[in-house]
Amino acid sequence: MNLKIPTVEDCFQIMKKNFDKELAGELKKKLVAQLIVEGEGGGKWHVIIDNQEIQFLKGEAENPRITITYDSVKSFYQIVLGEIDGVQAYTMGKVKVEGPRAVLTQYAAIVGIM
Amino acid sequence: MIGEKRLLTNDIQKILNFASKFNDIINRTNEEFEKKGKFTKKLALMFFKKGSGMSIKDWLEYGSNLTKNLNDMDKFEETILDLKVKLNNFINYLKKAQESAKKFLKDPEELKETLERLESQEKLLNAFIKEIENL
Repeated sequence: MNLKIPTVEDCFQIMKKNFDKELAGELKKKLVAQLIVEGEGGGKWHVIIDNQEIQFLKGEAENPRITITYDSVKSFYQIVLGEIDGVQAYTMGKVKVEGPRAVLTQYAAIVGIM
Repeated sequence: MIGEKRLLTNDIQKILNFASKFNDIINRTNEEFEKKGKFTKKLALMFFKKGSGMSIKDWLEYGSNLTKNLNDMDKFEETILDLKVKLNNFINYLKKAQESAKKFLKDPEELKETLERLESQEKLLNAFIKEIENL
């Protein structure tokens, strides 16, 4: 049996698939989210949602409106897959968020993460 | 025989009354979603689907057909068996919604009102399950 270990790129692919273009059109301004994934295979990326498009870029953003830190690639993957929801993940310490709740709500709704 | 038949009719009437109240709960749940902003609504609908096993659109359709299906004696048993599963699924959502409300609602009045509504809905659906089990 060949079980593939998920990567951050796999997570981005799922997020791209779930991306709600119509809802992204409701944003009043560009949304930049800094993502930090801890542990093996982790690193720093940022997500830009603007003009109904989504981009995933390596490294740190200049002025992110929110910063989301995942404790591992596995947690990130489970969250984007919907295996665990954001509330559970937060309670279990798998994810930390810095920034306004309203922006987090916008981001989560657009990329389809509960 | 007549007494037995009357009892059976009464039981079915009770089930139909509960079914109507269940349909009201589904509609009320949908009204709550409609009040929300676009972003919050999307998340609430995802949360609802995960907790209840079906989208609100499917629940609305299910609720509106429930009384009709229960009145069809050929479908009654099948409908009742499925209904018990559906009720448990909806209760699962109501429990999760209460947990979520406790975590996220900061306004004490809103929290109190939400919890009271969800708890009374859960209580009613549990009573409905008991009524089904007593058939």
